Amino acid sequence: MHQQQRFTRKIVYLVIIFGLLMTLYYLGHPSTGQVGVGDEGSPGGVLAQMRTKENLDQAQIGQVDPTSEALKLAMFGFRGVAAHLLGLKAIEYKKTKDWSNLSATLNQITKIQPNFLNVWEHQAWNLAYNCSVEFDDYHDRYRWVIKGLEFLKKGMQYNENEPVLARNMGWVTAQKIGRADEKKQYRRLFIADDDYHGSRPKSERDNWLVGKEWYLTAHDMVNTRRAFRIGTSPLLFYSEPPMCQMQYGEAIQEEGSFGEKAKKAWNKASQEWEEFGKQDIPTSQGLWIQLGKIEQLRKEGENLLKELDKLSDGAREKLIRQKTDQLPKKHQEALAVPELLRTPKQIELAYESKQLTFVSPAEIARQATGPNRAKANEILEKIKNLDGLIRQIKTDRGIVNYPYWDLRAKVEQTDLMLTARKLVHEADEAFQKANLTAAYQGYVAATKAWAQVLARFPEMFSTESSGNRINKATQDDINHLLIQYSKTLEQRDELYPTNFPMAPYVGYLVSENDKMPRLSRALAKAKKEFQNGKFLAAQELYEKAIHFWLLIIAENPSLMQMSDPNTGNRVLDTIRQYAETFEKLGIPFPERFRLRTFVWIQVEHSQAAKNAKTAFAAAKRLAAEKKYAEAEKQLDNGLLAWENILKRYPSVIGDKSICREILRSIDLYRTVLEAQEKSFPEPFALQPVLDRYSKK
Amino acid sequence: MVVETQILSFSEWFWPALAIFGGVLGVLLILVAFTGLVSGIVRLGPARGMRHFFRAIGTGFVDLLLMSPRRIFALTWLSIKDAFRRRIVIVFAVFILMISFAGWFLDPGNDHPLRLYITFVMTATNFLVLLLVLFLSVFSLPTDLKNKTLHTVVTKPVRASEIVLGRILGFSAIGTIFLVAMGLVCYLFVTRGLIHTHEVDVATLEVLADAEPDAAGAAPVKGKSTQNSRHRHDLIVDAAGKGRLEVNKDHWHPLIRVGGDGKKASDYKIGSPEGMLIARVPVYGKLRFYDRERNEKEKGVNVGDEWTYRSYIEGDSLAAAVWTFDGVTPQNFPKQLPVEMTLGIFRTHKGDIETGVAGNLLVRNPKTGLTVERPVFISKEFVTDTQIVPRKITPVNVFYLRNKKTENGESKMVREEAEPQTANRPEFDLFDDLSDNGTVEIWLQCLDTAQFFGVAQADLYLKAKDAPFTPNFIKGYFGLWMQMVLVVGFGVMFSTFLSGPVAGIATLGFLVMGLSRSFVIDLATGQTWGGGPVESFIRILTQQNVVTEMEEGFRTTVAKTADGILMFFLRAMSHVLPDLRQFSASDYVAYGFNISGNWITERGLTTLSFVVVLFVMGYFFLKSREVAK
Repeated sequence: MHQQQRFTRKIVYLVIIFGLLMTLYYLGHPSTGQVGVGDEGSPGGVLAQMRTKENLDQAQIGQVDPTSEALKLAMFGFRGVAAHLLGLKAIEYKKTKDWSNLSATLNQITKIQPNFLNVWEHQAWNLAYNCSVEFDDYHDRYRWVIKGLEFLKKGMQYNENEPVLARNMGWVTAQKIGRADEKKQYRRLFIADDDYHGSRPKSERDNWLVGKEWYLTAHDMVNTRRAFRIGTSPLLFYSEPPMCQMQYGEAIQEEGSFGEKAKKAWNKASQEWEEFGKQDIPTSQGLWIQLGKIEQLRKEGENLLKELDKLSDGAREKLIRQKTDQLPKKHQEALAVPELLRTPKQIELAYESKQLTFVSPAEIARQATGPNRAKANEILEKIKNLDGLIRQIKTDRGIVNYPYWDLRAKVEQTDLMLTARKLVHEADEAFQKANLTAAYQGYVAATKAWAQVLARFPEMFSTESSGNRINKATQDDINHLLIQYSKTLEQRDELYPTNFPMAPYVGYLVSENDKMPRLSRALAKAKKEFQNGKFLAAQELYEKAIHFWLLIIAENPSLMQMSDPNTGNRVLDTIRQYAETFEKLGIPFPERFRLRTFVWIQVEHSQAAKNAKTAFAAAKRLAAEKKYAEAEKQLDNGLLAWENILKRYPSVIGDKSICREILRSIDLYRTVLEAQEKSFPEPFALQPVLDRYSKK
Repeated sequence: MVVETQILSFSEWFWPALAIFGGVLGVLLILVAFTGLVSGIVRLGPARGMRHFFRAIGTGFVDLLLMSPRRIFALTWLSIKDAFRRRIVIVFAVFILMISFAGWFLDPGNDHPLRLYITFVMTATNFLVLLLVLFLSVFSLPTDLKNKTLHTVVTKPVRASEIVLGRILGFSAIGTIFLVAMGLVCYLFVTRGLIHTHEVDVATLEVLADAEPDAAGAAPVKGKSTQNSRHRHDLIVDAAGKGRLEVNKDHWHPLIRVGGDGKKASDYKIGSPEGMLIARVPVYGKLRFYDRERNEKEKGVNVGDEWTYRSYIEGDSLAAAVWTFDGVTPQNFPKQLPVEMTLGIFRTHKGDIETGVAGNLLVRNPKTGLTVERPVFISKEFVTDTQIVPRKITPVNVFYLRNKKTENGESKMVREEAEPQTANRPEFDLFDDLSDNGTVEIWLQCLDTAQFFGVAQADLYLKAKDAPFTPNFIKGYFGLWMQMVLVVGFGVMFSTFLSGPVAGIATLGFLVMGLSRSFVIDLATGQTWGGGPVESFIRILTQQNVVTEMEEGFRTTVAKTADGILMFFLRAMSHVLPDLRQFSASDYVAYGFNISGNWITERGLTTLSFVVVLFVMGYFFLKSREVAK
């Protein structure tokens, strides 16, 4: 009995084992390829078939590495734990700057988790960005950037269909090498790096171009292999290769290439940007857009609106009139005030008025009657769809700054622009070599060339994507030129020439400055208060205006040297009006006046000051020779010149250094008169200076 | 190389270490004696209990003092035979398998291949041998007891002490055999694995820009080698045809032109790698700092580095890091003083990207204050840079740095100009002018404004000589051997009163605690985040992060009280257990530093002390068991 039970149990066990084995085989047996003619191979078990279907077979994902496979097997399912522990070790090694062990540990992590993309992405970033900066020598830093790239390359071997890794390759190659503080050195080393590039010719080793190649590899994976993990929005993903081409153009120009090479680079960039404009891009709203199609869509929209207007028989004007009449009184009052004199509340009300009087296409469509109504509704629907599309395109164009780069690529390839950039580059080089004459001549020529560029391509200043405000990149270019030019002028002790060709653009920069509206309001109010005899209130407002001028000058330092005489004169007018309030209030003008340096520079470079100084020097010489009558004549002229300066720049009364010079002239004048036994004239035009400083 | 624990001279180490050892041993003895006495009194009554206790002590002394070497040897041999019967050779096979495939896992492109290779082979050997002896030592006695094979031994005229010592020696001998065999294989693996050569990449050869050809038209050329073992070298060959491949991956190669016109790779002969398999003999100094006003400080500036190993000195200020060296005598340094340093660099601004941060060294006589300034050098980070201080020093500048006390009682160095006859001397003798009976100060200063040098005590040393690699490799394995002997000691001691698996867990616990002693101390002293074991367990269960305070209440009070008790024991244990990491010298071998005699002696004595205590404990535990009576 007992034996029979044991036998039965064994049979049951065997059956269960067999059943489990069969199930295991059914589920898990591997697929086999075609072995011979007529043999189609086996698709494998359920799991193998699912892996094939979902592209999860190791052979489909990427290279099969025996080391990695052996390690994975040896881990017995504990590779997550092991990878975690190794990750902690890597952090510790990085903290203690143990670089060789850090590299070795990262190598081990990727061996046990070769298809975990985040490891490749994160650690490549860690190597190229975080570890590289720990080194002081830029050669070492470059080597670690390359280590990051090599790491990603290895990751791509294990994961052949992952655009996110190819895109990371593009990013590190282009942005890390091309944008780091050491970009000059990195780019040089990258071109010379035979070990990294292998047989790639040196002319093709620019980091921006190599980066572009990697971005295009990622595109290829998406377009041909249906890979989907791109690690960013499709909009940015497709903008990256042409942007690399643009950056390449910029980089070679920075390095002094302005001939055919630069022209070709920008020409290609322009073509690629146009292609990008034609690329179908999916959006998060489920729309497919083309950035370059906006004008066409706008025209379609305008035509539809015209059609709608026709169908509603001029309802638009009627509605606008009605709405304007119905505006509340306070809104109407606010609209009646000139724009510059509006209070913040009035500005708000004026803005609200615009909104309230806006007539939407739906309102117009509702005005259509009879058989036109249905047609109007149909058009309205089209307009709505079009509006949505245009809005989306506009947003996306803004994100990638599409119009600016479109224009920039076209402008950069023109001879005019290339010349302008070349002149700036050459002048910069001359300045660095302390060749001031060449630098000065270079900047003079460069400003003329830039003025021509801006006159021919005014859109470079403001584009749709910058909200019709000044474009930052263009502003940076102009600012660089003006700063350098100002430095050379300072060395030559000169102001900007009165016919400075870029003066209108400086004026435009000032007029577009965000402080300008507040400055204008402060000035308008100050003027009003002054006219009403409220001098204290006017003085406070002028102080506010001077504060804004100070900020504007800080942002446009060339104004110090009168790069735009119109703006400079406006500043001086403000100062004059400010000084008048002191006069009216009977208070002496303050010594610590915030625009003192600005005024001092203008006075020092004025013809009147030069005349006054020359006259003083001549008078001193003549007095020493006891030619008092001639000396008196010279001093008369000199003092007249100072009088004119005080009239033009009334704030000078607060400037000790200038007033001391005036006092010296007065003292000499008094001595010369005494020598001739003449009395000191009364009233004396420069009496305020004497009153303020002679006792001190 | 990072040296977090300073190696003391034997005289500095011995007496404090002996005092600690005596203290701990005394406390242990009192505890054990008290426990034994109390348990005897409780079990057998006061009179019999005390008699029994003192008899046991007396027998113990006899057993320990009258051991027979012959019987010990016989028992040792028995342990060895027994171990081989357990097919321990398999461990060696596993090791050979690991080494065979090591090349797959080791990156030959690593910047420091020797470090990688040494770290790998020594870690692999260490863990395999430790696990081997752990299992052997903890299961041997309990298995013999279970199988009653021990009865055949105890019935013979052997003492329990001889049984315990025989096991310790036997398993240590097995571990030694394995270590020697593995060490030999590893040595060959490392030395053969790193051998490679290059060829001259003739396409890269070009005459040095500022070189002038000699009468025969030959001029020095520079270029690059071919890429082998995932690296290449810059090379330079002088007009006579002698040259070298410059240092890369911690080594260089000699090069000689053997014929031809130098335009073919075969015209050059390149030798094997040099400078990699070495053991520098460093002389470490004592480090102190001076701040920007030259006030003496214990530490430099903290630049916000998470790792506080290095302390920083500010550039273009009076701040300095000062090392005081002893033994600077003509006998030890007959020709010159080679100062080797590894600096950390911290820039607060980009500065000049193309050039490193500038620094200089001052050599000062600590007695007279006479200081000579050495020429400016450009720092190299994470690289061992050598600055030579010749015996006859031509100074850049000479002055006195004299120690003054400030009003706050702090020490401050004040510069005083040297008198004209000193200032105008063309040269100074290192030993006559700048050494005070062999004591010399080396001052390190950073010269660039707003840039910093970071240093630790071991970052600047005097290189006495280059010792050969092989003895250093053997000394490195001696460190592993000591760890192995300690594991055997603990394993055998635990196995005398615990069952095999429990003894295994206890020894493994010792091993883990010994290898992570600093963490255990941090844990025991409450310096880790997340509290003690009970609090951490609650945090894990409730998914509460480690930095927020636990909510006050009964649960927290209980947890913290339990943790307090556990941490008390943990603290006590951490003081008794050896720090196994201190016995690892793999970093010394890997970074090419000689393992000093002091290191060997101090750790050797520590090992011996532990083993003696463990042996005595093991004996008494075994003696307390029925079988050994």
